[in-house]
Amino acid sequence: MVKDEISEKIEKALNYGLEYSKKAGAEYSEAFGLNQRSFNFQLEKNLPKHNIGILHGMAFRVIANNALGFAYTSSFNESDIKHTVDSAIQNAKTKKPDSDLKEFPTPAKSLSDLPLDEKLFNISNEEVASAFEDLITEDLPKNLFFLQAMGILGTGDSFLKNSQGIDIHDQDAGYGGGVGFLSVHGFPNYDFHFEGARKWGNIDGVSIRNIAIDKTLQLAKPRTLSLAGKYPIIIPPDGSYGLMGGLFTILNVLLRGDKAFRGETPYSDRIGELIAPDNFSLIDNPHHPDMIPSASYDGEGIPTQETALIDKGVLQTYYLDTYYAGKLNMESNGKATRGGGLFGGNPVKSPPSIGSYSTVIEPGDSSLDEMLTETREGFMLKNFMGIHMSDFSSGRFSVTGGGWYIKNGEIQFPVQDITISGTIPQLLKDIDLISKERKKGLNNEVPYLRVSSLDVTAKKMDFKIRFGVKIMKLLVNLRLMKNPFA
Amino acid sequence: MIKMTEDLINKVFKILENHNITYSDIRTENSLMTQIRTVNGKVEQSSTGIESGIGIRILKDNLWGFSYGPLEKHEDIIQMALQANRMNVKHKKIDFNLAETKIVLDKFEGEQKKKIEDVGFDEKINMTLEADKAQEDEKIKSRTTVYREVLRRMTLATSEGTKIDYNVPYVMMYSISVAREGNDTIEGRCRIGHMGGVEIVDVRTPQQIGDKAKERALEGLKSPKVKPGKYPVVLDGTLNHLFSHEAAGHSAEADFLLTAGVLRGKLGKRIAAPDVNLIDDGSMIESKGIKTFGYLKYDDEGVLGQKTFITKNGVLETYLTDRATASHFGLKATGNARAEAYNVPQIVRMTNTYIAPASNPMKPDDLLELTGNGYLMMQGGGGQVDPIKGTFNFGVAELYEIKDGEIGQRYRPTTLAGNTMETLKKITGISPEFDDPLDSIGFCGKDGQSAPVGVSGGWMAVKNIVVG
Repeated sequence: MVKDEISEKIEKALNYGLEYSKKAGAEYSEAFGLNQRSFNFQLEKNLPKHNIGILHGMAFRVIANNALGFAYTSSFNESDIKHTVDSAIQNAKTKKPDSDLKEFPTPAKSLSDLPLDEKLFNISNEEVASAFEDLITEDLPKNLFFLQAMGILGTGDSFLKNSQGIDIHDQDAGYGGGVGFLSVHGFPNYDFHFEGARKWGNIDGVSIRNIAIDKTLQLAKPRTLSLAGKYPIIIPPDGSYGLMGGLFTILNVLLRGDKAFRGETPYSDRIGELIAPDNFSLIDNPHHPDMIPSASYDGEGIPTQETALIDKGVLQTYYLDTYYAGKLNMESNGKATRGGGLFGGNPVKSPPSIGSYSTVIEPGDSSLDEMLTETREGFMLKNFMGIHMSDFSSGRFSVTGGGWYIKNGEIQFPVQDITISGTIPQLLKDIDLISKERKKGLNNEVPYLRVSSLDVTAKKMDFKIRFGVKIMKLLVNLRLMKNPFA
Repeated sequence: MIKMTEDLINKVFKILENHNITYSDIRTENSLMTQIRTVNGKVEQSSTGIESGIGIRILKDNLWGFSYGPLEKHEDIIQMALQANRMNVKHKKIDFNLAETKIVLDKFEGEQKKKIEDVGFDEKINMTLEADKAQEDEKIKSRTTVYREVLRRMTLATSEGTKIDYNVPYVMMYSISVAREGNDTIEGRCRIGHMGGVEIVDVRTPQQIGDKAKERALEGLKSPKVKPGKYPVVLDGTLNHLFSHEAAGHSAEADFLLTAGVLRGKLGKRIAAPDVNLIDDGSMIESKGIKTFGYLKYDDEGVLGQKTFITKNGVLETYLTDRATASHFGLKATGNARAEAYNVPQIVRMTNTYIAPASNPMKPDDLLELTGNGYLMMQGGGGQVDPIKGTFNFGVAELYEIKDGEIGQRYRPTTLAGNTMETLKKITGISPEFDDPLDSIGFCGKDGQSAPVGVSGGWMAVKNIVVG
């Protein structure tokens, strides 16, 4: 594909910076550049907030005096590029030499052949907006209101070059759309559904909309409860890695090689040990043909690979980049990520660090129906709040979510404001059922998981507030007041 | 590189004049950022960077259009903003006008007693390593310290004639100690920051920051877990701020309220206990001698930062607004339009937010006595709120039992959760004595944007809340 003017400027600036870094005293150097175009479709109830933009920048990583330095800029000017490279070298030289630091990686052949849909580069913004309009409808069931529709299409050119000969020009594209609805059947509750794809036409706005409506109706009229005790909990796929709070994102952090090396995770020095039930397998798959984070090379230019982190309950490895792989006497498995990406953040502003691509949990031999049948009293919960406040060293969490109350093997009614607490290592051990059925999310494909016992705390909403909502509904039905959610 | 010159401003406005535009604003940025991260006595990461570009926002046919990109591509960016506006108009169901504001020609330069650019990189590394060293202990298995500085250099120009140059410095530092005994692991954190220069580390030294993180981790390790349940609590100033910001403040943001939200339609109504004044104060430049993290001379629409009573005596007085939502709801612009950088549009954000007593100030000891038996919760550690359902969840780093009005045993870090509307009405007492604002800095996340916020507040008693 033809490079546009900004990509040409970026490549020229990177070549200039690499050349200059040799003269300026860098032993090894690496240059990364990004030219990312995005179209954001956003409609919040009555308020359209579409925007279009270009995110660009260049970052230099150098090894000087056997230490690492990093700096970035958005300016193409030669003097600014020189200044940025000088800053990176100064950063490096101010540090103490690091004997564990090795030169940057050398070129290696990609292990994947990710498809690229050129249509995403050529499609007009109007055509994209028109496709996203399928997310919106005025024909909604009673007491259901449109809350928000969002769509994003991102296309990008990224460049990674280093003094060891790596010269990668990667083009990437993806799009995604989602919609949320608000139910006021009882106390207000809402839910969203979002899907993404790397090929134009692989997601369908009408289908996303219908799933979002179903999800919202399933959570309609939630109740609050007063209780404190231990209960079995079913975690649906969007509770594990959902957009609105995935509990298992804590596990991904605990499996990072840098944390394992520093002893900052309960999984340090535990490779080969059974840490989960023997039917639990967790894989990082950067080669999924239709997941947004998929990539052929990681942030350092290492070919990405499919990696089983946990296989049949046994810890196999950690998420590793070259540096921490070296520290742990292991090989990098291509998990250096630059943050950000097509759906937000700015990958230029931070050096590569360890992360995950798309998480796959293998299916089990149970089913959601069986899990429900096996639950005498418990909950199925998702949409957790407070995950970012968890202890990412011990895996301790205390999060508040919503979902459904289960009694005698059947879903009884939707609930909200249910707080569960525990630690991820214990939760992992307490998984007693894994479903055959899985759902694909933006960066995951996981089954339903049942945890045999978790601490649950909840407080019933005050009578005054519950009564107030009832009065409000009555007044709205009698047309004596305008529905504040309409 | 192309600078934000009068020529560029005039050129952009000249092109926009031909497109029948009601209003437009241009933000150009050329900000400097530095970050140093040390782990276990070594500099793990150090980076410096310049972030520059232009964001153009237009109001045409009563709706916005926004675009951003490199300064060199400003002509394309104008076209993209117009295109975004056309697509917005296609989905038009609402008309935006702008609340009146004064035209401003000004420069704001945040005061730095020890300028960021005058302190050498090696000195900053040494400070970070000093905090790292302070965390050393045989039970501390991992020590992380981060020093971060931002010099936000931005120009705002509007088609109405406002032009403001901002030069705002922020410095922050935090340490995370991880203590381990057997398979038991626990984190302790300490974070400080202010709007200003590197002088902040003279107020609270790197040694003190590292010590505090270590102390929280070690104390946490030997403390028992609290039994999850519903308890009466006293919240310290950091949690006053966290509750005011996360639970109450977000619910009062007018852009959320265009869509839904628990405070919709409640202007003029009682939403909190009679003694609750919920305040957002962008004009508060200092608290206890510290430059506040949420101070704004002007917001990113050029509206003066100001003290806003969201509630007075428990009654909802106003929402927090930008110019468009102020006009929509018939309110005054409260100076809360903020954008993280040139590449995102202005949205309604808080500044320095806290709850103060309206008429019955109490002392911290009185609050403990009033509570009798329950928990004292100190050092908020982040939070999350659902402004539609009105529920919240906060982290708490230090937790103490209150027994017969006295502070007792310490417990492990935990969380508290509740419902905003319910909790606002269950506030039984508030102290006007602010805790140290250094402990209450934060970066508020909304719509993918981050904004520095503060401040602190006095202690506050709540009848009951879910703990653990």
